[in-house]
Amino acid sequence: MTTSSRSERLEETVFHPLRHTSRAWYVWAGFLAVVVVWGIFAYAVQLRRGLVETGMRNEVIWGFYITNFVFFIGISHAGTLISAILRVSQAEWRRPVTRMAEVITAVALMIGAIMPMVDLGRPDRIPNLILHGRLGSPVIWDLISITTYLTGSLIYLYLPMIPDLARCRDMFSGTAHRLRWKLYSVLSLGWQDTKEQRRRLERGIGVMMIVIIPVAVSVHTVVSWIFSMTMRSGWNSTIFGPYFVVGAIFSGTAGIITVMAIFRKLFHLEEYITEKQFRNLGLLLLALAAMYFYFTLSEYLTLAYKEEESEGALMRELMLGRYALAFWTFAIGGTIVPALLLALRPTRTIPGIVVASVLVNIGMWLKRFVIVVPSLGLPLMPADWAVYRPSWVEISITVAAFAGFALLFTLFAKLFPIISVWEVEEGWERETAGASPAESVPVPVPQVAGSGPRVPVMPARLATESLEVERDA
Amino acid sequence: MRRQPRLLPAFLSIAMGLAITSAGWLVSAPPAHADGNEVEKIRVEITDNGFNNDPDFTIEVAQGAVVEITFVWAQTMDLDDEHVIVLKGYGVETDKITYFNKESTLKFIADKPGSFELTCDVDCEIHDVLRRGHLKVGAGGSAGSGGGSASALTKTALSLTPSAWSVTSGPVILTASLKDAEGAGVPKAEVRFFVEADFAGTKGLREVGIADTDSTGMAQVVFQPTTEGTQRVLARFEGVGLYAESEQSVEVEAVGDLPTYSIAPASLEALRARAPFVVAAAVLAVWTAYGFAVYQAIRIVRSGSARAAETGRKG
Repeated sequence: MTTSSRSERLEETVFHPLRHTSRAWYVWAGFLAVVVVWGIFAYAVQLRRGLVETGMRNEVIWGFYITNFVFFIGISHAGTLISAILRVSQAEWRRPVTRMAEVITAVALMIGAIMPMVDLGRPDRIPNLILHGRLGSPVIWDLISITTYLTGSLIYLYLPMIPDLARCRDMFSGTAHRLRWKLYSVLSLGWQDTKEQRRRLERGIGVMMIVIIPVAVSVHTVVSWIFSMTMRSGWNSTIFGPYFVVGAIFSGTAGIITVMAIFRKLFHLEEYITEKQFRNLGLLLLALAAMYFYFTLSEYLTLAYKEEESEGALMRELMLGRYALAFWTFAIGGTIVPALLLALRPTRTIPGIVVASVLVNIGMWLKRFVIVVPSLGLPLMPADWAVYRPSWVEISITVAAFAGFALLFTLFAKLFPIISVWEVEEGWERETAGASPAESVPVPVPQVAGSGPRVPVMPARLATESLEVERDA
Repeated sequence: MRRQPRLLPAFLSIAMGLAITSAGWLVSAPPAHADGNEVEKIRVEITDNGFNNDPDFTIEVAQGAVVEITFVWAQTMDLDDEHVIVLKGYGVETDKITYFNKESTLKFIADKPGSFELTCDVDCEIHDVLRRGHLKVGAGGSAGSGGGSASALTKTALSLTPSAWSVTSGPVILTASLKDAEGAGVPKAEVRFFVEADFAGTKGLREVGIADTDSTGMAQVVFQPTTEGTQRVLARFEGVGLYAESEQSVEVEAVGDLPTYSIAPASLEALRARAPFVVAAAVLAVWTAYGFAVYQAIRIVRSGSARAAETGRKG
């Protein structure tokens, strides 16, 4: 099959959802919108009556909202890992999944960043964080790092989309969809695939893929510091930074596998998202499961061995008490079982890997819950354990948060190509050039000046079109 | 005649000779220290141009000599000036020398060989020229650095008294009294206070504090016991000038609710003060990188517009 016909089929497959909207899409989007609206209603109730509508009280001041916050910030690391790290390391198999990973990052950060605001109870006090915030407070560090990461993630999502947005612009040119054409025209920044434009784009992506990695690591480290900078039992830990970062990449990788499986099925992307992507990400998930298991063992073994009075009580409550179900579901269902599914060859199939990643996501949400709540329930004075039972408001807002995540993803996939077409084509060109150089069309491979990592190049097809435009001119 | 008259002049001559020789010997011999060591007496004028009008003033003495340096006010300008001359390395210093208190003497045994700075320790008007004096102690002096000098030292006695022998929770004031052999207080002497402590199974001395004796030879520190039980507290004077070292220890009983530690940990304030700037620089660097990436996107628009305009013109 020629590169041209493959490209045409790729375009047809990827751009099809942009042009055609099925009844099922409306039903799905409508359902998600209803759940989100229900969540907004629940929040309105909380806003009107105060945090008394939640299960949070004087002792347990953080519950589902902060659990969701840590969870969403965690899975936002998918974009950094899949896109930036794999781009820097020139892993060719990344190409069909980079866009999805970047979208996960941006969407998860948006949802995650809302959660502390919901937790505040009084949103009118949010400006106080900026007006009266102290630089010595980890909450301010969090505000700075998440804002920085969200901005960087949006830039990093947007830049590699420009060539594909230009295709959308051309595709919708002269059609009845004037508004969408206008949107693509504005967002594609007048992309004509000239040499200068390519050079600029490569520079921009090259800088962002390097910068976004330490920013992503810093974000989850700072999130962990919100806990570990306190003297509370279970939080007073020196390994929380790396522990949270590994946990974030672990759940982020599981998140991208889940999303990949859904879009592969719905958008018929089997030809582009193959078993190779699942297998490689599955092996990565296995390695991360081993690392996360190691950190968990190190953290809890040292607590259990010392059994200092309050930490001993916390450990008993986690291992045998009221949080035992959540803890062991995470430990066995979210770490050991997925690791076995990924390690054993018969189960290391696409369904097996997807099941493992879904289990990891559930396990990691529970893990965040057992980090946040039990430490707050532990009495600091002679008193009984504080009890936390989430109210319907918190459950509704949590479900709405997940629905909002899915809805934003659904809308994105409706408006923009979910696979980076030009990057996949570029991969094919490189593959062809590497397999039979004599037959292939030479592709100019622009490089960023200096000895830094190679950055993505434009597909030969775009380059050829550019030459044609030049000839015409 | 008898020979007796001839013997008298001879006897007188011999006696006179002996007397002259003895007198000469007596006159020519340097002044000796009470213990038999030589005392090298040096008189130094503090002038407008430095020690003895010499900005690079240097005294040379032999190792082991007992040295007595008397500094004398000879300034003609800045009559309200004042000086405290210290000999670094020997830990001795003069009293305050002023127009009204014109003399002060340093007395010590030059037992350490080498070159030592002789300088004014206060911010005086002629400080520049009073910080370049030196004392050079040459090795291998007549008295030697061992027993001779040790025998020349004045014995001291240090007595230590706590404000309470049994402490319940608060601190205890440790008072040390340093006296010389004649029972006079030794002023300006550094006394160090220790408590016997257990460092992970190894016994040792943990410093509690340092204080200088006042004009009566008294020094005080506040000690907060941190462990229950009998605490052996020790005061030590390590010797300075002509004074020999001495020490004494006592036992204090500590009971009750004691604080965890008495010495506050070093403050991290200096680091804390700088941290926001480091963080701000890192955040600024990241946002600058974002700015660079966005700038590239803006240039994509510009180059696209330029290209479109060019195509339009050609068309």
